[in-house]
Amino acid sequence: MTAFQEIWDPLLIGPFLWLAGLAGMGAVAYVLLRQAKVDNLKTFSWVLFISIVAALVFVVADLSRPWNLVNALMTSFFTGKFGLFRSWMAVGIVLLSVAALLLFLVALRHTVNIKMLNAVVDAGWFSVLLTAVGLLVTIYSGFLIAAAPGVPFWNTALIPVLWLLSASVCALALAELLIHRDDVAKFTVRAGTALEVAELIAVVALVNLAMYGGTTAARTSGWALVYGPLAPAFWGGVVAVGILTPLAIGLVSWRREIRLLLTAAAILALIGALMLRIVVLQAGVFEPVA
Amino acid sequence: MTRLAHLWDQSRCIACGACIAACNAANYHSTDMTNKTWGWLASNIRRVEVLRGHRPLLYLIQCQHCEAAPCVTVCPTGASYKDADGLVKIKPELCIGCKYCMVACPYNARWLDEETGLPRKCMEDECLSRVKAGLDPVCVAVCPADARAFGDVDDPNSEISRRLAKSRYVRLLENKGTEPKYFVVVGP
Amino acid sequence: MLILRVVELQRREFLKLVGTAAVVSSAFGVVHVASASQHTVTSSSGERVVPVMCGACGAGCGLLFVERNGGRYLLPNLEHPQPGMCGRPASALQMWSHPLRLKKPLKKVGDKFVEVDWDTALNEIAAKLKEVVERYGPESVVITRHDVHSWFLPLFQYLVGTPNLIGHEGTCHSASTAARTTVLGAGGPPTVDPDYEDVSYLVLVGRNLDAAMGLIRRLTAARERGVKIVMVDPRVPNIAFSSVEWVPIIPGTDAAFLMAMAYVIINEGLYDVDFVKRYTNAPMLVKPDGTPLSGKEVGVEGDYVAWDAADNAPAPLDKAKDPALVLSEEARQRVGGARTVWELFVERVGKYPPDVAAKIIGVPADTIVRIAREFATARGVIEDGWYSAKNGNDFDTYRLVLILNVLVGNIDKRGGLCFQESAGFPNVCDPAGPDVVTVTGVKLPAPKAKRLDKLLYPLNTSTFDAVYEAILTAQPYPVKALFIVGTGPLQRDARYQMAVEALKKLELVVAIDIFPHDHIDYAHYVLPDLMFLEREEVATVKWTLHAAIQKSHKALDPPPGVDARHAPWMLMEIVRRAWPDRAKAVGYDERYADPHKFEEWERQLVEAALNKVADRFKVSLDDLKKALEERGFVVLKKKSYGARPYKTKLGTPTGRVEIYSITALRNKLDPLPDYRESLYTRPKAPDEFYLVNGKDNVVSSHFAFTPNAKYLGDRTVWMNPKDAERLGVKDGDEVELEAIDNGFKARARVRVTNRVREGVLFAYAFLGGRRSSLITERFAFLREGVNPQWFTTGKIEPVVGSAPTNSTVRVRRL
Repeated sequence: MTAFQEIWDPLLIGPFLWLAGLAGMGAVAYVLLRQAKVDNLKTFSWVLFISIVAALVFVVADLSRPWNLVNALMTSFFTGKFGLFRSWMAVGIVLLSVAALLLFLVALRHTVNIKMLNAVVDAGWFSVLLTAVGLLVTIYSGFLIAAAPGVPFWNTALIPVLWLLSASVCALALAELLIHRDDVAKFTVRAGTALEVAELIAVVALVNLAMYGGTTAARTSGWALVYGPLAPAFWGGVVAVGILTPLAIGLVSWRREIRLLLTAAAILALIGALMLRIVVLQAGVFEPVA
Repeated sequence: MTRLAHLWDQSRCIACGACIAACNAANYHSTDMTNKTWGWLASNIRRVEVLRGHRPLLYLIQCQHCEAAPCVTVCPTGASYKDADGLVKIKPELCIGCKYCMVACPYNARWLDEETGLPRKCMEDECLSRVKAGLDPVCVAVCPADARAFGDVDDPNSEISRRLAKSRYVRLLENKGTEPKYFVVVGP
Repeated sequence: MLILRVVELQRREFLKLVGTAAVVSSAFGVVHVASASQHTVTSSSGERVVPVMCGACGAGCGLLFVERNGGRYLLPNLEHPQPGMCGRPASALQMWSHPLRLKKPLKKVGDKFVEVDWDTALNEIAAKLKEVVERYGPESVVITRHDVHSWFLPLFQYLVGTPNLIGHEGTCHSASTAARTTVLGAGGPPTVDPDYEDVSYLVLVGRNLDAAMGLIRRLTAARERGVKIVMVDPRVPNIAFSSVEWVPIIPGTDAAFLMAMAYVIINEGLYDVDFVKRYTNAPMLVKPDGTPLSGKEVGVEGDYVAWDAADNAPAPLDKAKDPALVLSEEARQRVGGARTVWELFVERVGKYPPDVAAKIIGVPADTIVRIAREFATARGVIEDGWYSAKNGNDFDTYRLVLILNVLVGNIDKRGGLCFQESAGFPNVCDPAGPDVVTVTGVKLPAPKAKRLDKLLYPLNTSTFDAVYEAILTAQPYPVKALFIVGTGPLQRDARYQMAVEALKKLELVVAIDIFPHDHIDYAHYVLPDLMFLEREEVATVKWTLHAAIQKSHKALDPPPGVDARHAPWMLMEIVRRAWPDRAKAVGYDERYADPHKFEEWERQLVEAALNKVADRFKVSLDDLKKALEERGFVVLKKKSYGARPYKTKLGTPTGRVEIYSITALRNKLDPLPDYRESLYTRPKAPDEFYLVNGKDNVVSSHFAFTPNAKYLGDRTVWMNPKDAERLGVKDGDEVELEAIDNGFKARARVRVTNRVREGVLFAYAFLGGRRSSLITERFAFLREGVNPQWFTTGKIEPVVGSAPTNSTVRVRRL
């Protein structure tokens, strides 16, 4: 079997993608929670900010030339070589930086009381901006790996969609854990269940199409996940723990919510989402040249 | 326009390893550092044996210096770039080591040099210096079986052009849209 | 740019360039390689270029050592008559700076090695050597070698006074050389070789051209014209990745294939009748007892007789105007029932029609027929063989190879199997009457005793495996000391277990080498030698049909921490310390104890040799030396075709090509070749396999150690996919191999590949399965795999002294 790609460390870039998606759709969830007039969003907003900072830490940890980061970025900006309209990674660098700034402002707004700050963060345009940036960060986290023609398993339009669904589930799980209001809880259960179904379909599609309609490398990756060395992590972690269990709990809680069950569902969904990204990265193999 | 390119003749190659080892000697000072990306030596050329039919086939893979190089597209800082001579090169001062170029390359033609953190590939410093001086890259210079050529495919009188004109050749993974400039000759 | 490119192209036509000056293109134009041993290049790019002779295998291709932009690497010397190169010298800098390189003299104390200084080592060795010689006689000292230092060693040998300088050839080319000698009156592998650049059809039987690269380059010219290359081999060597036809033959059955080819060629009249009649002993008359009919017996002159159809009478072989290949009944009666060699040969060949041979060799009959016809009609060449110690029936195989070339009359013609022009580089010592005289004219007494292996194997080049037995049995006389110079007997010879026992029994074992091969562990003293980049050497260019010599320049000093020195210096110091008078007799005294002064003494030997070369070719010594200095080589005489056997007789008893070998007959061997069974037990059960071994252009004793070899070398055992499926073995599985003939067991990883035919396993020789205690963890890969010599039968082919290195093993899945 062609070897798994070891270029991007799945245990560094996996968490990076997860945290970026969490912060991204979490930002969208924040805006919706503000609109629903939920108060006490201090913990929620700090979790988002810490997520995006942690995402940046993880991604920088995978760099092989981190000492050159600042110098290279500055030089490439000022010599006009920065690939904003060419490279998803460049887009990501900009988006993550902007998102980090915005989420810092948000977290600060819910911690200290500065008139100027409140005015900015509470403004309508800020919400629109935050929503857009949050969505884009999530989408970027999918496009980043999907745009790599070297690894056919990733090279599918399904990845950004799946990432979006999975990150949304994570945002809802975060809300479930940190926000204790009945209407929010009801919404998270129902929306979460629906999204879990969609996510399940997307995962099945990703793996099924790779194995039965894909190129040699895609087939190898799919096989590794379904039957091969990654099967326990995939079936156990991603599917059973990450999707089916929360889904089952969601269905059971459709009418009546049990705090403990829902907390468990949220934690399991979060773990599953992280595992999803890790195994997808691990499963990547290059197309054999001949 | 200048478009420098490599030719490798699969019908002549005797797998002697000279090009692979010479690349390590000339460009990497004969280092014994392991190339962990490929599980290989520190060289820009790797070898793939395909077991098929009556006997196996050999492929030597190195940077294809694609016209539509995905590694250039995905590089956030412009460290990976296509030069006016047609070769895909790297500016180490712009490289942050994000390795996007490595996963983007369908040929897995880049490998991580753990000492510098750079994503290495053909052509490296010594070969670039030789080409600038009008010499062949080392892999071409050492080949005993006349299985390699290098030059400007836009110049009809260059050795590579003349060789291509009298050979049947294929390119690897053409359907990836990379427009590779590594010509694999399969026969006259 | 254009001018430099034109120069590049011209350099490719190396044979057409007689060459007046070295042209090395650089950024700033053409530069000369300056004279003097510094070899700096007068170019402002600071480049240094030095011609060297490759020592990464035994072929000695021409290379250039390049220092450029602060880096060092090797390139082929394209003007050299035998330019390189392959992956082995491309890894030479790794050999040079290798952590496992022998660094200081070592002495075995107990079971550990202790570093000692040179004086201690040399004094102790000299004292012990002297003692051994005094107690047991000089013949109790044996020296073994491979290619390196082979020119110098006879001087050491004769100064010690032993007949026993016995090399590696017994598991290399003893058999094919015996064939060349008996059939063509030629010598070692390069003395007869295909004229590659003009060959029309090339058949390689158990020869993979992994060396020399200069031959590959010449073959390329033929490939441009569309030559067809056929590899007859149980496995796919690397060259067969290129466009060749692979004929997967059952090991040990090459002779049957060749007999069947002869069958087709003779039957279909595709042979060159004229050549056969005029230049071979095919018309020679042989009595029913197998001996040649002599002139006396039929009233004509000479020792050899033919039937002259022109006169309808017997005539001396060389005088018959129209010698008959087949006799009429009337003629036969007049010669007492004698038969011609041709008749005997045709009868012999008649046993192998293609369909009979097909069953023996595992190749379809129509393939045999097709190849025979293609070969004969194209007037092709079957390469005459180099490494031929495979199955114990190799003498006959290689005789048949030569005979097939002879049948199509393709001898010494353009594109044929040609004799090499001899450069006549003199030996360091030559026999002179009963004694020996050095190249500087000093007479040394000849040893009284006879060389050990020659007593048993008179037609061999050398058979070191016979020495192990002599050590253990003290027959015909005791052997007590052994100098192992630049060769690895435990990787090389075919009696591994006996060798280890024998080494342990010796009183003095001195190993002179650069790397810790297996035998180092059994040495009493280990002396670190220089590698090829660190010394100067003048030698023949081996693998060219021209007469040429080359000079390898010193490119580098040993790296810091490596106190390696020149082996000839070590050996002369030992002689001087043991017998100062003998050293003095050849002008060697204590002033050369300083290794830096040694080159003065060595130079006079080389100069004396070059003087003789200059005389022979009527050139000035100064011109010769200048060319060697500047270009690294000199072509003394270009190949001229159509000499032997046309204008000059061959060095055989009849002076002709001997299809029927008088020399073989005199040595009680079958004068005609035949297909005989291999000397080792053949596989009988479904889990028994032939284990064949060989090399490739990424295998050599030195290369095996390099970090590059971890990836470029293949230490697995190859198994055919059908066999693997049958045994339930998957790619990468570990199996146990058990030798059928000697019971030795070892484990190895299997590579399931269609590079080997069914029923056969393949493992590279000289690569894996190393056992030296000096191998560190970092180089643990050296222990992977098997040493094929562990499994061999240890039997030796009679008279020619070739020891088969193929064997049969039983495979057990683990």
